[in-house]
Amino acid sequence: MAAAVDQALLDLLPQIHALFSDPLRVISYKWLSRNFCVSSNDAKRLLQEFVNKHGTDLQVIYSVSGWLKNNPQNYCVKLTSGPNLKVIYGSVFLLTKQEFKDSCSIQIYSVQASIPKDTAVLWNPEFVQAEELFNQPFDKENCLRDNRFCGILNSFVKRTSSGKHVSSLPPKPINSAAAAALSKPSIIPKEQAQQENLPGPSIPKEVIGNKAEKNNSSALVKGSNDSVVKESSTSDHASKNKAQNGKAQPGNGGSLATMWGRASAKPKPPTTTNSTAAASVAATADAQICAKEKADANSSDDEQGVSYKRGSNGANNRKRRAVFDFSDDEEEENVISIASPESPAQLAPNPVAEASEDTKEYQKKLESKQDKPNSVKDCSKRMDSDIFSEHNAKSANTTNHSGITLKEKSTDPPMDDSKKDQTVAPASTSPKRRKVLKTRIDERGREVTEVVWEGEAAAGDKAEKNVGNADAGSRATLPSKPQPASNTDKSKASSKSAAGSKRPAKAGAKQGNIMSFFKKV
Amino acid sequence: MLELRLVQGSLLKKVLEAIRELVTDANFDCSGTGFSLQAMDSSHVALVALLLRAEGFEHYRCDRNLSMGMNLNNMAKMLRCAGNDDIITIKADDGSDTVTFMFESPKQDKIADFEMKLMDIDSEHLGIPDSEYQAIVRMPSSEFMRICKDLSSIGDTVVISVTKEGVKFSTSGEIGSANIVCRQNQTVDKPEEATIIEMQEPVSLTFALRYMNSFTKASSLSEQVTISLSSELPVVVEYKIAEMGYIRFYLAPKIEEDEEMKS
Repeated sequence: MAAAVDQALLDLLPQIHALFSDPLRVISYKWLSRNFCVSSNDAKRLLQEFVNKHGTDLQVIYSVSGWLKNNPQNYCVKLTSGPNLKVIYGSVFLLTKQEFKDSCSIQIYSVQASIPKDTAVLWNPEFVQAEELFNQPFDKENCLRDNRFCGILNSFVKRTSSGKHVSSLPPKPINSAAAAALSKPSIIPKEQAQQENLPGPSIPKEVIGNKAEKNNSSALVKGSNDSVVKESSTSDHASKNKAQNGKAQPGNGGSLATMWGRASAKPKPPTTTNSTAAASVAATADAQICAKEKADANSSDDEQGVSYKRGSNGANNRKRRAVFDFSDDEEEENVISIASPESPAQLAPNPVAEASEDTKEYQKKLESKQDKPNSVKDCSKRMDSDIFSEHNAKSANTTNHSGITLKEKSTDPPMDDSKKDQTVAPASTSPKRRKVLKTRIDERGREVTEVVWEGEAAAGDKAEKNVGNADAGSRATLPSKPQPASNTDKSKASSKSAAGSKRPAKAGAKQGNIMSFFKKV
Repeated sequence: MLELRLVQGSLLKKVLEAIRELVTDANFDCSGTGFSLQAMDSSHVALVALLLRAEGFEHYRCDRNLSMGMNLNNMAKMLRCAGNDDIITIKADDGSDTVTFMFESPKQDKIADFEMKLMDIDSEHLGIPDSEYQAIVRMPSSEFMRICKDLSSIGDTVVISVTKEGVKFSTSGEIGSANIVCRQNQTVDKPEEATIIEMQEPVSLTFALRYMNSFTKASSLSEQVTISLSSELPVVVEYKIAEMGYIRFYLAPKIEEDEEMKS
């Protein structure tokens, strides 16, 4: 741990202590991370420090993670209270009888005055925090939205954070997968929350913010220079935040936000079409991400990077903005194709109504998800919204082509008809032409031959039979149509297997009896 | 006393699902050599023969030959209560009129007993001679299932003709006709995808697709199906059951009337 980091962190200790004086407060590393804009790893260290100092009069919940001994495929992350853990400390196994393999990691999850009876108490402050961050106006920068504290490094995702901040903080290797596992879902949505007005202490935030501003005033200037439409103020914020968090943040730590930003770049436009609350949340989130990207680009020292970034971001922005302008009707249309993206031609009786219902439900779901304290859910929600948006994009395309999605539906049945026509064709034309030979390889690689041709002579010739069959079909159809199955069965069999010379009269193959082949024992 | 323990309980489940559509009631015959069933469908057109050899069971005890009449739909209902990984044990006491199916979960943490009433069934046991077939076609069972399904949407009967070229399945109906030719094909990555045709002489027979379709319910038991054809004999559609036996369906062909008249 770098000394600088330590010092900055240690400054927070008194504040934690102050917080801790509230007997009902649960201080988890996630909450801490967001509230003080430090990375989750630092937050954990901070808590450890705090416990070391005041260990006697507080209760600690640890998160123990590692591979289970009795079930080595399972990577297990468990929360456990201090006493339980201590029992085990020698060879790490919990009171739940699960024994971990040798290398498992133990980290402090939270400290509190007493172990809560209901575990929900543990998550609640984090959730409230995340929610507040998430509900902030989207032009406001917060750490939940840009996901800056994500402990997960992804080589495919480059985080373009401004060089200065990064340089001040060498990337920290993540020690244990557990940390990653824990911190990833938790941090993504929550980090944003930090800046916001939390019930917690708002002072430290400002202090830090000021510090950061001083340090990175240059970055700020750059950021403010950027005047990409309405988000200039945002970018200020962004760079500020960057500054704040630069320390704690691993330089090339991949952020899901950038990933989302990219993913959404293509299909995004229609996404935001949905004016419903849920959608707007997603949209604002996207906008924030976008703004963040911009800010990143602006504050980065690399000129090339800047220009490149700008280009792409500009495109993104334009798209996103266009989205906002979508009208309600179009949204409805989009909705339709979302509901049935794969088979638009399905014969749903009232696809519009159904689809719109679907989306309502979907939105409800989104909203309800939002209410859940589980941060993983939040994460998935955002993913959802992206997927959602992709569908939207698709639908948008279709609308462009056909004007209305409904049209697509109306055009499809004809296609079906034509298909039918094709299949029917040989049969219907055969009586007239009398000579059709079709051989094709179907999609399964089988050779399918459909033959209706005029036989010359050979009595047993298949072709002849088929002719007879066709004739029979055309002539005898009228009377034979409504025949019961057994009858048609017979006539078909006869026409097929009867000697060619025999006209389709009445002959039929009789179903043999198995008893005539095998004797009773 | 009868006690048969089948570790791969799902096999029995699949067997039941494969035959219960064809046959509603049947006698299961247990002897020292194995567990078998032979039954005809109600119209005496098709016959199913099942054999599960004693070696295939983890534990096989059969003190004396026993014939247990069961309603296959009821038996299937009970077997559906077994998990796919469950170990199934069939138990019956001499002289008892019930049979017990015991399902043990793989971890041995759940054991279920189902007792089913037996029934008296007059069955006509047929002697099936071992015969030489004019043509034997082996092909992927899924392929055969697909063909039967496809053809049955066009017509009611299928003409299966084996020639040097390959095996041809053809049908015709009111809307048209269809021919599907499968050629011999051994150049595949997996042996179970091969189509192999052994032909002594060309043969062509007509069968009701309805029965063929119900035979293909057994496709889940085996990757390959063997179709044996002779002009004088019922077709045999055989699915091997992993190293322990087989399920064979016999189907009488449709006979042309004028031939009959001639003869």
